[in-house]
Amino acid sequence: MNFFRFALKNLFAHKTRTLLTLGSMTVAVAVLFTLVSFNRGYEKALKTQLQGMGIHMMVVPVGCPYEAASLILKGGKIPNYLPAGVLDQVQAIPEIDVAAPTFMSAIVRPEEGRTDIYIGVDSATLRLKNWWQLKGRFPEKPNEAMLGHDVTLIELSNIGDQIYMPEKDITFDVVGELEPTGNEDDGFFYIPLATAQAMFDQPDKLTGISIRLKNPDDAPVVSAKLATIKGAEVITMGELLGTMMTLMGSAKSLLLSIVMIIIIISALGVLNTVLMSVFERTKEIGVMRATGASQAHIFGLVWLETLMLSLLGGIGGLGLALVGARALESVVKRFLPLAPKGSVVALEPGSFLLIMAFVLGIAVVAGFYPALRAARAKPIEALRSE
Amino acid sequence: MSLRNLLFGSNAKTGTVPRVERFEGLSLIFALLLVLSLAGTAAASLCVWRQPDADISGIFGSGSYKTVFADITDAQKQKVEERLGFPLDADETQFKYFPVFKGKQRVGTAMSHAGKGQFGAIEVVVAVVAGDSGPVIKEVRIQRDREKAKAALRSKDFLGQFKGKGLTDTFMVGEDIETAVKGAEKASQAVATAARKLLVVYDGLGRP
Repeated sequence: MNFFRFALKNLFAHKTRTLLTLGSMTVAVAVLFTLVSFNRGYEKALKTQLQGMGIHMMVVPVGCPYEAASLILKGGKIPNYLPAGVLDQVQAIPEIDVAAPTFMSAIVRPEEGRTDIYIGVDSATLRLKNWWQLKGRFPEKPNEAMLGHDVTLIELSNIGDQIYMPEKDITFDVVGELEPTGNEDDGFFYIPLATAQAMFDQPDKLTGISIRLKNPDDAPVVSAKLATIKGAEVITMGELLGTMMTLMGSAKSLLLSIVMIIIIISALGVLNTVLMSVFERTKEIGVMRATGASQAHIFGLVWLETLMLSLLGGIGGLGLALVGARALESVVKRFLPLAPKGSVVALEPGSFLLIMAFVLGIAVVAGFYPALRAARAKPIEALRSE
Repeated sequence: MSLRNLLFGSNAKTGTVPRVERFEGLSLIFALLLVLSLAGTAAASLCVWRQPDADISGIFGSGSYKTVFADITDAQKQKVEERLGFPLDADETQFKYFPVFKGKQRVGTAMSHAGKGQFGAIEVVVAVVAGDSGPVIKEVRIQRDREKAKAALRSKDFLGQFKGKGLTDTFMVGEDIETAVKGAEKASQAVATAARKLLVVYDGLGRP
């Protein structure tokens, strides 16, 4: 017990220096913990969102994702669509429970700062997304529409109202409203599939087929069967998640490298603080050695100071991360292009323990040299020093 | 679980980079997700002032603006609702105003609001200036709508009628406001009601 008190007293003999070192370690640990928590949370949120779609795989046309995304966002036509016959081929596979065709396109109004996203659907979508809660009914007639929850708020429109699409001179009767889903479904105008295809001059074409399997374990078998369809490509939700996480990986590698540099600088700060403390206490260490303290005692004392400094920094970092993570999350989500809904920061005890072990590991290394130098000091020389 | 795995996720464990062919297959899903992220933000920005610089130069010639948030108290809300003759929306507990300045001198105030038209929301921007007996409208603009009578609603003939209107005017289409075009009575009234509502709430909040 006295050993700990002694180490603590030594640390705070120079409060300003120790607090500055603690501060740098706190910030470094907080940033590392937040980054790790963000990674865990992002993956978890993305997984939840993808699972929430109730889709095991999708059949999409072959094409460049960036070009397609860009074209759709600008209201343009994507270069490839699924040909009409693909749906029949997909539906003929016995392991498939539901195959829901969709046609998606957007009307962009840059001068009004608004993009309307239209999804052409048929009743299969309702079977695929059987958790949807509807007010009214699903659109069936050519000029009927169902609005996502966010759309009802933005357009101040409800069942019984009409929605006009000036660009195509089409008036839709709103026959249904989607109760809040908490995901992207809230932001769409849902119209009959044939209407959407005709409206965007792509009769019988599809932008995707969402698939639910009777048994998810059949995914490899079904995937192999779907892969034989010409002009189509199969994506499982697991692959999508993996690719998105990999895309995020390069940015995270850069961030992690920066954080690692910060941690190393902090470790050097700890080393410097403890080493200066050792130099200043040369005489004191000499007295301790002359009065019976062994080299191991001195080594242990100085090493303990390093570990305590790092431990306190780590705990401070945890506190800072807990306080600042939510605020950081709200900022990050604004700039994240593929931000899933819900929290993207998962503050998990396991992550913190791992980071603490990492930080203490660095502290063990950083504290080794000052501790060794203090332990090796010869009592007689130490007592002579000023 | 290694630190590397914890930081980079399970994919990093193998160090694999997705093949180009794999990327190609993700086209629509990426498009979907990108579109989705935009759709989500749109919902949160219900009736923002979309083009402040263009509106300020168009209405005031030039100037700068500040953003002022004003919470409405229960007493203010009751008075405002009495004057309007209809209740405020449940979520209208805070209003946003944009005082416009030329140099240090305040030359007016801009506000925006979404009203329910015939075919969806109509977002209007209203600029008010100080009049002899309270605030009066300097100009009304439409920043977003999906009406069939879009051109008529945005015409000077229609929107020009609001210039100089004050708190004592009724803003009733067919009485002191002419409809934009025959058949657009509901949309015309939506614009008029939004303009009056902004004027009355602005006055009711003490002209922040």
